[in-house]
Parts: sequence; C-alpha cells; structure tokens
Amino acid sequence: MLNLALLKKELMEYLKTSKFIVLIALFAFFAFMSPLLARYINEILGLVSTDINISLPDPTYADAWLQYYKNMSSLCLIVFMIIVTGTVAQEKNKGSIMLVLTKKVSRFQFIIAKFLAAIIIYTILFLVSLIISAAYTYFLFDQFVYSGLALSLVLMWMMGIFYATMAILASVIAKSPTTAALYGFVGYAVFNLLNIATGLQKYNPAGASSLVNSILMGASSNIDNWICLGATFLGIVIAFSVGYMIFRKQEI
Amino acid sequence: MSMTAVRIENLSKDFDGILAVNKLSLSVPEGAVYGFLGPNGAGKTTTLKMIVGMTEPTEGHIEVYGNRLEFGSDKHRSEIGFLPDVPGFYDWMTAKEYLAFAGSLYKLSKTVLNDRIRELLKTVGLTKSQNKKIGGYSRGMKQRLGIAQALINNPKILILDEPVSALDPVGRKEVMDIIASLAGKVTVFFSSHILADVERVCDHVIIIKEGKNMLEDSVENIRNLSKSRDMELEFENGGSETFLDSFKDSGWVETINIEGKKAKIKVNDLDLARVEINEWICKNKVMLRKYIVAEPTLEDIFLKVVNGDA
Repeated sequence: MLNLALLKKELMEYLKTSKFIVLIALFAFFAFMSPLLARYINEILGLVSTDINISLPDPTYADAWLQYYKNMSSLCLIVFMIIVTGTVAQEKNKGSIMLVLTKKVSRFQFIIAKFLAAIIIYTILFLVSLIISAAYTYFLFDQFVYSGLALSLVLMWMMGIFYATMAILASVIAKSPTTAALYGFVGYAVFNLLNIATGLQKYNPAGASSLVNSILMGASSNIDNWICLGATFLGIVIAFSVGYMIFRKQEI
Repeated sequence: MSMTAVRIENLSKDFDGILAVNKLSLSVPEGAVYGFLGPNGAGKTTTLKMIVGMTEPTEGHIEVYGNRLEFGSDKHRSEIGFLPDVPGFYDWMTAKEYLAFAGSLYKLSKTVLNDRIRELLKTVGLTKSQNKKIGGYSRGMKQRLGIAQALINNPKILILDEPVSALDPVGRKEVMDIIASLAGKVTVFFSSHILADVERVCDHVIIIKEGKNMLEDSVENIRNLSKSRDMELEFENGGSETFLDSFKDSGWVETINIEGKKAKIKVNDLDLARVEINEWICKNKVMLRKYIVAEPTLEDIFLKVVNGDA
C-alpha cells in the first residue's frame, strides 16, 4: 500500500528545499529560549521596569516546561502547519501532481506519503526541541523530570500529528497554497478556542496544550488525559479519512 | 488489421451545466501518430484528462487496448505516458533525479532504470544538462524532459496535451522532431493548435468542436475530402483581364483575384476547372509562366470544419 519512492521524495523535498532548515531553526531556537527565559524572567523584568518593584517567586524547572509547551503549541506549530498546508495545494497549483498521479500511483499512496512524511518531520522536530529544552532546563535548574512528563510529551506529540493531519486536509480542500494556509490557520484557531471551555479540553483533539499545564501543576485527572489522547487519535483518523475521501474523488 | 489503442465511446463531461465534451467517440489505431485538433475550449484537454484518469466522465467510457478505464483506478496506468500542457516538475530535482523518481513509481529495477534514463536523456537531448536543477531549465527543456518522463516505463501510448504551444520556433521544432522520431514505436495521441506541425507528423487526425467529433480520418483521406482548391496562373503575355471576363461567372469559381499578370482562383470543382481553363488557354493561345494547383492544407480543412463550411 505504501509507495516508498513517494515517501522518499516527500522527505527529500523537506530536506532539499528550505522547509526543514527553517523548521529546525525555529524549533531549536524556542527550545533553547524557553528555559532561558524562564530562568532569567525576573532579571529581565527588573531591567525593563526600573521604577516599579516587581516581586516574582524564584523560577523553577516547571516554568521552563510551561514556556516550552506554550512555544511548541503556538508559534512553532503554526509555522509547521502552514508549511504542511502547501503539501498538496502547491502540487495542484504547480501541476506536478498530474505527472505523479498519471503514473502507477494510487491516490491513497500519494496522500499517505504526504501524511507519513509530515509525521516523520514533526517527530524529528519535536525530539530535537525536546532534547535541547530538557538538557538546557537541567543545566539551568538541575532538574527536568516530573511526574507525568512522558504522558505530557505523548499528548503534545499527538497534538502535533493532529494539526499536521488537519493541514493536509486543508491542503486537499484548497485550490491554492494561500487558501490552504488560511484554512489551516482557521482550523488551528477553532480547536484552540475550544480549549477555553475547561470541560471540553479532554474531548478536544487539541486539548493537550491546556492539559499538559495541569499535569505539570499536578492538578490533572489521569482519566481526562487518556480521554484526550483517545480524542486526538480519533481526530487524526477522522481528519485523514475525510481528506482521503475528498482527494479520491477530486478532479485535478 | 491494426488494433485499437484507445477507444472512446459517447464520452461526455458536464461542468455544472457546461458541456465540455459532448458524446465524443473516437478510436486511435495502435502505432498511429494521432492529432487531436479543435479551437480553444473545444474540450481537448478535458478529453485527455479523462483518458489519463484526472477527470471523471459524466457519461460514456474509455478503453485502452480493450480494457475499460475506471476513474480513480491505477490499473492500466502503465500503458499510458502523459505530458500535460504545462508540466510541473520539482524544481529542486535534477533531470536525472526526476527521471529516477518517475521510474521508481513503476518499480523498475535499478539497472533497467539507469539504462532507460541514459537512453531517454539522449533521445530528448538533455544528456549535458542531466545534473542541472530543473528550476534552471528553459520551457523547451522542460517540455523535452516532460516527454522523457512520460516514456520512462516504455508505455504503449503517449498522450501529449499541446506539447509545443508555449514554445519558441526552435523549441517547437526540437519537440516535434522527438514526436516524429517516435512514430511506429509508440502510439502518440496529441492535441495541438499548430496545424503545420500536426500535418507534418500525424497520420490520423480528429477535429472536435464544442466537445463533438466533427471529422476523424487519416490525413490523406481528409485532404481528398476537400473539393475546394487554390489555383494560381501567371501569364507570360497578358490575358489576365480576359481570363477574369471569361470565368468570373463560372459555377466552379468561388473567388478570382487578379494581380497584374497573376490570377489567383479558388475553385470548388478542380476537374471541371482544369478542363475549361485548358480549353481557354489553347483557344486564346495564351502563354503561361506558372500553372499551380495547391494541395489543400489541414489548416484550410480545419477552418472549414470549425466554421461549419465543410
């Protein structure tokens, strides 16, 4: 079912164009900055506000993780999503899709190669940022592990995959890369807004961005976390299936 | 008897009430170089896209070597190579890498693929630029690479959509020479606006208008269909005015233009015109410098068909 030549091409495209460089630089930068900002936030605030006396508690490794989760689930994820939204739309726009789909390639093979490539790239980005952030947190605070860290990371990773799938769905629906990016951003905004309702977070495929903070503060319910994991998985399956069903019948 | 490579039966495509292709039927014989002609918006690209499975027919069906094609199925893709009007490549790849990628989609073995790439790059004249990024290629080079990628798995049928329409005369000639060189090796079905090119390389043509088949036959038979011919006479010792007076009311004359010693006549019955003109020449002892009967061009026939005069 999987066409390895297509998957190889997708991965090479990330590497040979500037996409991967941009993404890895962005993820690495925020992975490095998150613990650094957490550690020196008091000093920074002291420097910028000389006439007001701001008294904050001493930062801990938990602040570094909070900062990391916030950065990874906002700017880094948005940029990653925008890049992935171009994956099918750009090929439709340029006409390169026609040369591929008129060969011995099924539409499923085409779309699954895009999906797997996005997962692989996101996983690399996530792991690199995680290693940098964890190591630097340890360096600055002498501690980085806490109870629920592994589950938090799985939740964050799954949420990234969910958004990648949403980006592919947007890319399938849209006729141009710009429209696809817009659809992707709207999707991101909608799922993030759903997190405002606390009761909905566990059922939201993007609920991880809020739940990881609760886990870090020791205020989360384990059942809720697993429900969220299930909802995210379901969200991935649904988003991919809808994207494929549309793409299968789409006239190029 | 030659086999039919592509058969289309009553094919229609409706785009939200606009009928792009209207009960079109045609058959492309195996080994033919088949020209697909029609004015802009006639439904050529839509028809070709339906053959290669990019667009779903509203009605009718398509057969490739007797096998019915299903939209969305890649079952008979190996038999067809396709080049769209503006081929989109991955600019970050070199020509060699692109052909290797295209070949790997058919799961060709490395040895076979390497030989095929070498052979195709030579055929399309890109051996020297094989390691250059496609992003730096000219339109003509991209079109030639497009032909090479369409032939990568040695398909039986090559479908080309307007392969030369965006090219300058040099690029056009290069691509047409490649198409001409494929005659007899592969069935070529291609659409074009450039009738002189079609006339040069095709043995069969079909002319469509508003999605309908207007004329389909061998180029030779189509030429013979036309009774209308252009004649040109150049007189040695005058006589053009007498010629005009003698024939302007003849039934076989469509138009006569006199330019000095020259007479240009469009006739609708060549045999009768020749008999009467010859008699007039003898009777009036007219000396001629030129006596030309022009062969009908595909362009003449095309214009008549699309204008509804044929």
